[in-house]
Amino acid sequence: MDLRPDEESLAFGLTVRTLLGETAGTEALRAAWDSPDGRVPGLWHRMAELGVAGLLVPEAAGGLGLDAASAVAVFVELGRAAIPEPVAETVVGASLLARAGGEIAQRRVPDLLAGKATIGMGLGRGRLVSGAEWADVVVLRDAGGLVVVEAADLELVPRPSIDRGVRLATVAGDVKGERLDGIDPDAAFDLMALAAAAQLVGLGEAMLDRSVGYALQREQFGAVIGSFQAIKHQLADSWVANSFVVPVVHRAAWSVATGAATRARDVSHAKLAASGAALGAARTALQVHGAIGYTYEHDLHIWMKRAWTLDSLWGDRVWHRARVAAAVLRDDDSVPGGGR
Amino acid sequence: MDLIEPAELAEFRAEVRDWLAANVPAEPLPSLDTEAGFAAHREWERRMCDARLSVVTWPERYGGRGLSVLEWLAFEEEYWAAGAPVRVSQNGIFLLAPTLFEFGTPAQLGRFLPPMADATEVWAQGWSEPGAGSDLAALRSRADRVDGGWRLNGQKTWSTRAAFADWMFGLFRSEPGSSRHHGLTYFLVPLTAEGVTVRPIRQLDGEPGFAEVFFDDVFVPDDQVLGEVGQGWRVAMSTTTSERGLTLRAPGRFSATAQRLVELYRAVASDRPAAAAAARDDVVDGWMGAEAYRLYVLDTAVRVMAGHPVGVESSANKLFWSALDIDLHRTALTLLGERATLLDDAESARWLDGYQFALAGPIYAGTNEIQRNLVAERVLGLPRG
Repeated sequence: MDLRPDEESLAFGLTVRTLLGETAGTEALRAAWDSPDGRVPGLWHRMAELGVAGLLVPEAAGGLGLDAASAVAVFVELGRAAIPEPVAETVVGASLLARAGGEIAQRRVPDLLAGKATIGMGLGRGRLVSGAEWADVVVLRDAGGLVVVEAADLELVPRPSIDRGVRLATVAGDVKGERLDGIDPDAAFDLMALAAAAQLVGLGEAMLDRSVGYALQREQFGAVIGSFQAIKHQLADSWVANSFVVPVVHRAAWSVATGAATRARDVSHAKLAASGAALGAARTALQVHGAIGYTYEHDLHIWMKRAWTLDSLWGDRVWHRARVAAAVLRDDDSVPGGGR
Repeated sequence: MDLIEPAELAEFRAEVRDWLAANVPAEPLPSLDTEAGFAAHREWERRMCDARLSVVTWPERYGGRGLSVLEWLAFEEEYWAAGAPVRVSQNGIFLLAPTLFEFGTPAQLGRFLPPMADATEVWAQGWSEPGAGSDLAALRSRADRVDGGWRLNGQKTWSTRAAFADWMFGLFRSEPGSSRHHGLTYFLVPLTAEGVTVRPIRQLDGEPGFAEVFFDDVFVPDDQVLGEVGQGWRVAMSTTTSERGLTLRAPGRFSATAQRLVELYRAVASDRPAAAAAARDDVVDGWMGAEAYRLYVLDTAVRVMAGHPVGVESSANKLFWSALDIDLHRTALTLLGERATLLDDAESARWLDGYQFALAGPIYAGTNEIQRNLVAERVLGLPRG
């Protein structure tokens, strides 16, 4: 038994971490907010060169052929760097297209793998699409399952987010897409929710790291504030909360990868736990940073707002808790349809 | 990543489950904190030992089965799920034994482990003193060199199980004039020795779960020193950060409590649906907390078995389970409504008992404030204040 991704997957996560550390610092992220396409120039192409776009695409279709359990390490790094690129959407979307096949897939999967295209995802019932503004292709959910549609054929109304690093939109008008046959929409949704949970792990760790760094450097009363128990205990609690999320996310990844009967419960547990820890880390980070952390100039809000956003997307707290309740308490009436 | 239990593990789990189903007393044993109850719990340990289930991770020659920590986790899951009796010998088997294995002489292992395994000798712990609680290194109880051994003087307190236990392990200051962590020695002391006075202290629940112990010129021979003279602090602490951190509270304990909470929720839901609905999120959070603890410890256990050192991280898991345990019990009491104060209601009485015990969690085995300092300093690298 082993709850951790294998060495190779972890090494791949580190490679992505290094790339993001070199190319997607917070200056680059801020520059992206104000650029026309909201992206870090060249980053997506370099990610694709590493094989990130095809992470979950079968090897026969030109991807790396990894499973969700192996991809978690990469998703964590996306969160740690809080990058704006629609990586999770594209990684998951490409795997759905490659598995379902069809005309659009045939045309677009090679572009996706080459880093020439990205995917927007709108698998919830609210018709909110993430990664929308950049998307060449959009995967949507309707009553019959999943459909894929060329972004050019879709009317998308941009919706501003508190997080300037994400691009959200609502679908307006009719959707004339191609059905993605053989794909379970709930499983696809769970893969996105898992990716969000893993990103939240990275976000929580990043905020704790920065808070510890700040507490070691900021002096008051003639000592670094990290020597005061009032600060230490908050940071220790945040570390404990973050630490206890990781195995839960790994277990969810395993359940997704193996199609376990407990998949829905495990993914919802992971999303809830990861959101809780990341939101807690954000609160702690803000308190430890004091007024400087409350400024727009300080970088803290980049991670904080991404955490808020991923908490609400891909199944909010109420919906996920209801799903765990349904599995654990077996009061099946408690899963509302509208939450996600 | 692989979460499938290996076949041997599943077989062992099934054996434990079957044995417990056939042997766990139908009626709960009388309270551990009475003389008769203590004896009944000793007898239960003897039966487990006869089935070689009392100390499954120990080597066979001392009464164990030489199994891994993964099998131990499975054992504990089954044990708690079966509602089996509290382990009267837990101070010995979970706290002292790991230290004995690391520092004991072969003679000491042969002398102390077998009677620990069948609970013919039950151990109490001797750490805290009236002036040394969180600041354990302030302890003043003294050991003076005499011919062939030592004479102990002083007072220990909050000694769990000491009211009825046979032996105590604890730290004494063996170097005159030494201070703090220096000059301490780890002793094994029979509570029946001349000069030992045990005065039971009633805990929150009114029962004598711990005691204060007075030492008045108590003679202890040299072969009852564990580890090197003067190295007591190192001996006592070495295992707090490794296996002991893992085994202090098995996840099975909280999984079983969470399962009972879910069952209580279902019962209340059919009876008083509004009350159940109001507590539903807390019930779900409790279940998730127990599951997170199970997964965290499983992950830690796998790393321990792979030979990775586990540091302060594992003892910091106390911060998690101690909060979880209180939350689980408080939620149950909320669900019980006005029944929650009634001791003649068996369901309420059991949750109240557990709640009172859970409230001790953030205090014993190093307060949670001390644990937070450890995490902040040793994991996060923050300076000592």
